[in-house]
Parts: sequence; structure tokens; C-alpha cells
Amino acid sequence: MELTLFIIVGAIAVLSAAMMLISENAVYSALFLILNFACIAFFFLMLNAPFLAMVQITVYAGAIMVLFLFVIMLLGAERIMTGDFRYPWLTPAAVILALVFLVAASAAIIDGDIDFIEEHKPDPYVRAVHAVIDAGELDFYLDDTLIASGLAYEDSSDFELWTEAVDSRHTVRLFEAGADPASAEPLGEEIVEINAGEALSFVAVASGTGDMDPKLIVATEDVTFNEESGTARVVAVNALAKWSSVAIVDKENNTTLIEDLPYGQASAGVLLKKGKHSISVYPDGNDQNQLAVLKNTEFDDNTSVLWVLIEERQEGNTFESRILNIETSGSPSFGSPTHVGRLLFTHYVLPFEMVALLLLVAMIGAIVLTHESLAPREPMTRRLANPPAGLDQPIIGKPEK
Amino acid sequence: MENYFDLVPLVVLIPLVGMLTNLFFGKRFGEQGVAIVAVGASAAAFLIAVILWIAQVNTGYVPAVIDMPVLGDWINITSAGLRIPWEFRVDSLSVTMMLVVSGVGTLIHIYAVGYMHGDSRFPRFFVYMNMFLVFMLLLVTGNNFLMMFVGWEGVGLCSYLLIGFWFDKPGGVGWKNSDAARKAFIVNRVGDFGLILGVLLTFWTFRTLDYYKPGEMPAAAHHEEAAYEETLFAPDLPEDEHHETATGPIGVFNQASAWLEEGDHEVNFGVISLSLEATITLITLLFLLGATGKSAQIPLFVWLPDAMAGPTPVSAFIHAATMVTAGVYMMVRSNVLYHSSDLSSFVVAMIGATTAIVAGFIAVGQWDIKRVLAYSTVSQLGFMVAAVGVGAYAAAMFHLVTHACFKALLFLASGSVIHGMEHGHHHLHEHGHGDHGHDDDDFDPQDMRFMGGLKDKMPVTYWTYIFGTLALAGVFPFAGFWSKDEILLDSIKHGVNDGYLSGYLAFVLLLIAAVFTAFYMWRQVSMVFYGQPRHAAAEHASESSNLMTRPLIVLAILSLLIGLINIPSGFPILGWLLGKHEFTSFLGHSVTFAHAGSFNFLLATMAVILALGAIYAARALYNDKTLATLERDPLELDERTAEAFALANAKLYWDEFYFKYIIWPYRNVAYWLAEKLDWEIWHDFAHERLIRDPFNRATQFLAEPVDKGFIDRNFDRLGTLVRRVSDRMRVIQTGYVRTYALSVLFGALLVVILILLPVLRELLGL
Amino acid sequence: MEASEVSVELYVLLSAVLFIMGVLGVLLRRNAILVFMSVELMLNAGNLALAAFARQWGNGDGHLMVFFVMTVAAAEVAVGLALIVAIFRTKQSINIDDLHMFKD
Repeated sequence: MELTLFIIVGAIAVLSAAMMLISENAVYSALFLILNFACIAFFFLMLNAPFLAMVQITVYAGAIMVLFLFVIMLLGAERIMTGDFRYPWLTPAAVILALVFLVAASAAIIDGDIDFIEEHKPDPYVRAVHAVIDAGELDFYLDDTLIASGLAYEDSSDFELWTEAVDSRHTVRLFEAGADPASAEPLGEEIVEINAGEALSFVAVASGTGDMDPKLIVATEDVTFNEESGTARVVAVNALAKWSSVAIVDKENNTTLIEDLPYGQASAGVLLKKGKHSISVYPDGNDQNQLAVLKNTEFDDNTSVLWVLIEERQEGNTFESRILNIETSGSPSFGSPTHVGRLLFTHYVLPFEMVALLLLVAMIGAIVLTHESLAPREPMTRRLANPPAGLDQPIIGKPEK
Repeated sequence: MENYFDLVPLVVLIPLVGMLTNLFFGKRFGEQGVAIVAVGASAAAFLIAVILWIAQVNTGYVPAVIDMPVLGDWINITSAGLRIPWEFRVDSLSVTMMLVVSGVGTLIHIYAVGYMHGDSRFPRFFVYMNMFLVFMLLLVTGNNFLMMFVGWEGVGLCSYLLIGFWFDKPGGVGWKNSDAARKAFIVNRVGDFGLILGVLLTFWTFRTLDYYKPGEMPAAAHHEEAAYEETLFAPDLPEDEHHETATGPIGVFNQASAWLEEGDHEVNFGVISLSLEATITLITLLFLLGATGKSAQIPLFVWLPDAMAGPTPVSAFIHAATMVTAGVYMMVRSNVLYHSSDLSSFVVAMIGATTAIVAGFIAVGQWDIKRVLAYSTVSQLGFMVAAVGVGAYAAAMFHLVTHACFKALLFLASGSVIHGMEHGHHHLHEHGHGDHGHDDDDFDPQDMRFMGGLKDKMPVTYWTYIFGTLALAGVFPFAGFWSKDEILLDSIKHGVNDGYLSGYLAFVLLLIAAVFTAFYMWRQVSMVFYGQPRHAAAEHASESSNLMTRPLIVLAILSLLIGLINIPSGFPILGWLLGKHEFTSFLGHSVTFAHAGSFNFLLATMAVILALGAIYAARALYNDKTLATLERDPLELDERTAEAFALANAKLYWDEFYFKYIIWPYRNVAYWLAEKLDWEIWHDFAHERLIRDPFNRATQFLAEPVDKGFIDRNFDRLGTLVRRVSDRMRVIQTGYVRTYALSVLFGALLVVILILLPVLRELLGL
Repeated sequence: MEASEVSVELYVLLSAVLFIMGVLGVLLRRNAILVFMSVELMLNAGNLALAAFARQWGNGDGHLMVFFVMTVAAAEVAVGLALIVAIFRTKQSINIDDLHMFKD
């Protein structure tokens, strides 16, 4: 289907370009070029670049080509072809050169195996989550880098890009806030493997019921664009030491989201339709004993949700289970206006400003060039005439007495 | 009351503002605006001088030293211990000078508004006048020698600018004017050279240039020479007390007194060292050189008579009343130094007295009305300088004040006469009465031979002129009587009481000079005002405008009364009525060695009788009959005096002497240096023969065989080669864009193929 | 991300074809406006390749580059057309073969 579309539109593009070349009337040429641009906009859509497609239609096919047409009509230049025609050998020479170019390029493209070049994966994201009651504020170190400092209970740090070595093992360590990582004893320690394209949450949870020593669980989340829109992506972490494993159920749809999640593990990601849901947690195989519930909670699409199941100390030193719901919005989908806009205003602010300046200069330049006072020039005279007479004579000689 | 002393910078700054205002906006203001600004600035300065005077009186004459706001120190080189602050000094001496300068200045400004009316450079004139005020007031108010020197040079500059003010007059007159300006400037340079040497020597000796440091009191005079006078004027502090209280840095004068008292003080000059006394003698002689320049004394007086080329208000203001007295002021300021050096005092007295009599003699033989007055000024300045020489510092200042009044009056009145003559001459031209026997080309409005009979035509001018003449001649009760009498008496006392030869000599010379004074003045009055008009211009002369006559009247009254400020002790009635030597007491608070003059009836009578006798003789000689046709002077006609008159008329051949023995030898040496040393030896031989010719030969060699023969030819070949190659390659440049585009494509294709070479090779199975 | 049915190679080939057509337009057409339009075609061919590679790499930078190319092209069109208008006013022609003053 896609290939068919590509072949049809590609044929139209090539055909319109050819027509543009051979049309005698400049207006026709311009119209064919617009058609060609429209085809290219279509290709942009196919290439996951809706924003570019939009710009292509409005700016290129719209504004710029209208400007062309306007100038053509202004000058009445549809058919102006006066003047001499020199160098007839130019046409065959150009065609031959172009064909050689095309052949060379095609050979290179076909032979170059572009498709098999390994896809580039983005740098991984990491963040820290604090889910240990009574543990005070915590510092998280990944190797020797501080990734979260002074994190309070129920808080999570933002996802940060991890630009150090990837696809290798690293140590996550947990300290009391303000402790010196070089000398202090870590509260918890875990060796993790960090791979490109991942988003890892280091969740600090209590080691067991009543045991407040923190321990680390690593959850792999997905914060890139979702495959299906209108869904949130959920990952659950089980820190309920009392139960060997738990199940998580969406009560309204009566669907089991996650089954058999053992203690101290993070689940794989599951998709949750956007909208309100009530979520319950049961011990595995016992759907009468509801451990904790998340009532009528709104879930947005394109978010990444982390549920941490913890026990919370109540009055009288009893414990009650609870779901900690941590939501993170995902990255915008690739090629969307949001995505392009975010890049534009973060990494490409300076080029953007410079291009804006360039446009201003171009505007002024256009005004200056077409200004009336410049228009009716005197006929061109020879600027570089023969050198002034006498300069060819040698200057050295005896000074006059 | 002491706060009022802080106003003293304004005395300088207000004329400065006036000057700048007229400088930048004068052309837009028009004559009236310029006049208001200039006269206003001068009058405001006078007002402040009066306020300072009142403040002085009310604070018990305590000298004050005031810092210039904003400016801070002028020079401050800590390592050399050299610190020249912008400090103003308010004491009785500087206040006196301020009053004279700004007071007389204001009157002359007013007069000049009338006199310069219609001049094309009216604003510029007043810019210069205000600038002169700035520098003159800076000169008299500065608290150190260097500030005084700034003012000294500044007034010299203004003098130069104003003497040459009419440099553009037609018929060679402009040249004469600018020559006179240059002469004044250059002659003054000689004197200024001496002064600056003196100032440097002062610094070397005393390590400071301040007269007195802030809070320091002038030392009181010692009593040994108090023999002939009943009172000496010490500052308010008991004198023996403040000698001990003088701690910390002290100024030049007290330092000198202290060291002189210690005795045996040596001044080290590296190679040699001199005793303090010798050094002070050297300093004072150098100062005297400065004074002879600025105050027109022998040998540097020659510039002053020529300076009359400037407009008459300038002559009155700068070259009679104020600037030329700067030398006297400076010497009076340094009275401590002069008092301690007998040799210097002797030289000063002799120069002063000689100048007085020489200038008086020359004045008798002059025809130009302003020239007579100019020589008279030189003569009177000689009186003042002689007074300094005989230790009569107060008398010198007194004569300075009175002279400023009556000489300004005389000059202004003579200006009025000239103005009237020019007016008459114009009148003559307009009405076509050309046939009056005199060729108009010869007409000179300043030549007394063309005047006569102006008494009735210009009555105000006449009467004020009479006042000025009587004051100058020293007739009782005019101002000149009191001041001249005091100088004469002090001179003879210097001789008789203190046994100084200079006293006797000065007395005799000055007495004769006084006789000359009376004689030439009355000769002038007779020629100008009496008899019948000897030229049609005189016939049509008319009285000047009120703007000009009013200042004359004020000055005439001053000439009559100003002498009363210093009635000598012993004078009947008046002394009891008006207080004795008020002025001297006033000065005594800042001039250490000021002493009051007494009154000697015999001497006074003799002087007056001599003056009156001279006047009578003059009138007898220049009676109506001789005045009728004044082609030649009666003295010239008389065989006995003809020779003397010729000598006086030729100004004793003074200029010619300078020309022959100084200027011509100097020029010859300069010519010799220029022609022989510089041109023939240095230029022709050293430069051309030794340097240029070998250089030429070397360059010729480098140019011809080396450069042209080898380097140039090879490069020419290279050039030809390039040309040939480019001739072939020029074909590529068609000027058609599409061919260029094709070549770009070709190039791009080459690059692409180069990059893809491995791939292509593989594809083609190579 | 599921693999696309259409491989990147096809896009790049198409881009190359369009680019060559633009080149031919520049070389063969003598109407300055058409030459200019051919340049635009070349730019678009380049854009297409960029977008294709951006998808292949899963990297938004390619999109940004396309965006900037478009912006610069807009500036270029403004100035270029102004130049054409100015040239037309003086020479009364937009045949680029008439503009051979470089040689002088």
C-alpha cells in the first residue's frame, strides 16, 4: 500500500518536474513546480514529518511560489526569450554530465546499503524515586554522579539524559542527604546495566514490613513517543514484602493489567487507555483481599506512569498498603510540531535567531534592490578602462635639478 | 565675615565667564549685549573686591588663603616636594590691587564701549579686555609665585593681542601696529626669562613657592630701622609670639626671615654653594629683570611707547594703570627679600630713578599726545621702582594707586581728544572743506601740532585733563602731590637717616624728574587746548559722548581725592581730620616692611614750587604766540636747547642703540649661522656632498643594473609568461552564466566521482 | 517503531532524480525565473533526502535542517526576485544569456 502510494506520487513528482523544465510558458512551469512541491509535502507526511509537510504547503507551495508567479506576471515574462542563443553544444554537454551524475549517485545509493545502517538509539534517561517512609531525604548517585539530591518521600526527580558510557554496568548508590559519597556508607547499592534508548527509574523502597532500610529496584519505563495514541504506559513496582506476588486490576473494565508481580520486581510496560480508571491491587490469586486502591484517577495519553506499591505506617504501628502514582509526560512523537518546536527552541535557538536576522536582511535587501532611485541606471560603462596614460613608463630616473 | 573671603575665586571667574560668553556668543549679542556682559563682569569683579576689602577691615586684616574650588592642586610632585596649589591670597596688598584693577578697569570698560563703538571687531576687543582682567586678577590674587607667573604671562599675551588689535589698518599702519605688538612681546620675553629664573631659584632655595602658607602671618618688621618713624605696623598678633608659634611648613618670606635671623645659611647648588644673602640678591636681581620688562624700566622700557599703537582704552588700562604696575606689585610683594639685600635695593633705586629722569626728558621732545603720556608713564613707574629701591614699599604702592587713577584719566582724556580730532576730520571730509592748507594724507589725529584751541570745543575733556595734569605734576592737593611727596621724602630719609647713597641719588634724580614731569605735561596741555586750532580737524572737533566723559569725570574726582587715603603724619588739620596714613597702616598688615611717611613742610613746599615753576615756564614758552604756528618747537628754535630737544625728540637714540649694538649683531650672527653653518656647511657639504651623493650613486647602482637589469627583467618575463597563459585561458571566461554553471556541475561531478571511486570500481568489477 | 514499507533508498533515489532535473533546468533554461525555480527544485530534492534520513536515524535534527533550508530559501527568493526585477528594469530582459557583462 505504502509502496504503491510512493510509486504513484513519485511518478507525479518526476513528471511535474519534467513538465516544469520543458514548458515554454513560465506560468505553466510555476504551476508544475507547485504540483511537485505538493508531492514532496506528501512524502514528508509519509516520512513521519507532518510539520514539514505543513510548512512545505503553506510556505513553499503557497507563499514562495505565489511570489514567483507574481514576479512573472509583473514582468510579463511568460514568454520573453529574446536575445542571442549562444553555445548550442551546451545542451548535450549538460545532459550527458547530468546523466553521469545520476548514474554515479544511483550506483552509490543502491550499493551503499543505507537501509542496513544500524539505527541510532538515543541516549538513555535516568531518574530517582523515593518511596521509603520515614527515611528522610536521600541522595542518589549513579557511579559518582549525583543524579538526585535531597529527594523527599514520595518525590521523584526528572528524567535526565545519561550521556556517560552506555551498554555497560553501573552502580547506583543511595545516601542520606548531604552525605559524602567518598566516605559515607551507602544506605543501598545496586548494580544496573544501562542501555541506549532506555528510561530507567531507580526506586528506593523499604526492605520489608517494618524494616525501614532502603533498597533499590530498577524499573524500565518508556518515555519515547507511544505507538498508539490515546494510551498511557504503566510500569508497576512491587514493594509489598508481605506478599510474594500481587496482581493489579482495572476494576471498571475488570481487566487484569498485571499478573503475578513478585516482590521486589518491576513489571513490564502495559498500555492503559486514557481517561478515568480505578485501580486495585490484590495478592496473587486472591481477588477478595484488596490491598490498595487508586480510585477514579485520570490518566492522560502519552504519559508514562509508575506505580510503586508500598506499605505505609499508620497510627498504632500498623501498616497499610498503598499505591504511589508517579506520572511523567512522554516525549512528543517524532516529527510532530511539538517535537520540532521543542528542538527549535532548545538546541537550535541560535541558528533560529540568525535565520530570523537573515530574513530581515533579505527583506531590507529586496527593498534596496528594487528601490526606484536605483532602477533607471545609466547604460553600463566600462569600469575597468585602460590604465591612465604614463603609468607604463618607468618612474625611476634622475630628479630634476 | 571670614566666609566672604571664599568669594575671591569669583574675582577671577566672573571675568572669565564674561570673556567666554562674549567669545562664543559675542557676534550674536551685538554691541550692546557685548558691552553689558563685559562691563558687567568687570563691575561684578569690582563689587567682590569691595566686599573683600570690607571683610578685610572687619576681620582685623587677617590674611586669608582660599582654595580654588574644584581644581585642587595645580602641580603636585610629592617626590620633589613640589606642590603648587591653586590658592588665592586675600590680604591688604592683594585687595588693594584688586580694587585698583577692577575699579579702574570698570571705568575704562565703560569708556571703551563709547570709544570702540562701530569697530568691526567690537566683541573681540571686549573678549581681550575681560581676558586681561582674568589674568591681571590672577596675578595679584595668587598665593604663590607660579600663579603670579601665570597671570604675568597672561597679561603679556593680552597686551600683545591688544596692542596689535588694529593690525589690519590700511596704509602700513597695521604693520606698524603689529610690529609694536611683537616688540612688546619680545622685549617682555627678556624680562619674563629673568622672572622665571628668579622663581626657579626661589624654589630651589626655599623649597616652596607659596608666599605664606595657609594660616601663616607675615612676619613683623624689626625695629632697628624704625629710628625716624613713630609707628611700625605689625599684624595683630604680638610679634615675638608668632615667631615661635610658626610651626609646620612656612612660606618663602617667613622662611627667608627666619634663616636670615639664624645667619650663616648656605644654599647648595651642587657644584657651588652660596650664602643665603647672595642667593637672595641673585633672586631679587632676577626679579628686577622681570620688573624692568613688565614695568618698562631701563633697559627694557622701549616697548611701552610703541605700545601706544593699541586703542586708547588699552593704553589707559593695560599700559598705564594696571599691567605695567605688576612689576612694582611683585617687588612690593617680595619686600622681605628686597629689604634684606642692600645691593639689589641700590640697583632697584638707581634703575627706577634713572628711568624716571630719562623718560621725563624724552617726554619733553615728543609730538604724539599718547607718546608723551607713555613716557610719562615710564617715568612715573620709575618713581615707584625707585621707591621700592629706597625701601618705601608703602609709598610705592600709594603712588601706584594714585597713578592708576590720574594716568588712566589722562589717557582716557587724550583718547577723547583723539576721538574728537578724528570726528572733526570726518566732518571735514563730509563737508568738503579740503582747502585748509594741510594735506590730508599727513593728518595724524594724535599729533599735537595739528591740535590747539580745543579748550572750548571739548570743555569736559579739558577740565578733566587739567585735573589729571595737576595730579601728575604733584600740585597740592591733588593725589600726585601726596604720593610723590612721600617717595621724595622717603628717598632723602633713606640717605640721611640710614646713610644710603642710593637715597641721595634717587632724591636728586626724582626731583629733577618731577620738574620735567610738570614741564612736559603743561607743554602738552598748552599745545592741545590753548591757542587757536592749527588744523581744520581741530576746528571741527567736538566733545565726546557721555559714555566717554562720565568715566573721565569719575576719574578726575578720584585724582583729586584719592591722595587723601594716606595723609602723612604731621600734616596740619587734614591728618587730624581724615586719619593719618590710613593706607600705609592697611598695607602694613601684609607688607612686612611698610612704614609710614611723615610730612616735611619744607620739602613739600619746594616740590610744589618747583612744579608750579615748571608749569609757569611751560606756559611762558608755549604762549599763544608760539602756539599759533607750531611747525617747530620753541625749544628747537632756541639755540641753547635745540640740541637737547633733538636728543629728546629722537628718544636719546635708545632704539637705534639697541638696533646697532644688539639687534644687528644678533642678526648678523644669525645670518652667518644660517648661511654658512647651516646652509653651506651642514646642508651643502654634509648633507649633499657626504650623504646625498654617495646615496644617489648607490641607489643608481641598485636601480639600474640590479633592479632594472636583473630583478625587473625577470619579473617582466614572468609577467609575459602569465600573459601568454592567460591569453589562452581567457577563452573559458565567456561571460555567459550558463557556461559557468556547467563548469560548476562538472567540478561537482568530479568530486562526487572521486568520493564514490571505491563503490564505482566495485560496481564495474575493476 | 515499525519498519516502513518504503525504504530510505527509494526516497534518496527519487531525491537524486529530482535534483538532477533541477540541475538540468539551471543549465538549459535561459529564463532567469525558470533557472531560479530550478534552484528551488534542487533545494526541495535535498530536503526530501534530509527528511528521509531523519526518519532513518530517528533524529529530529534532519527536520530542523529542512526547516532552515526552507527559511533560507525564502530569504533567497526575496533577494533573488528583487535582483531579477532590478535587472529587468535596466536590461529589459531576463534572458540570462543577455547578461554577459562579466566578461568586460
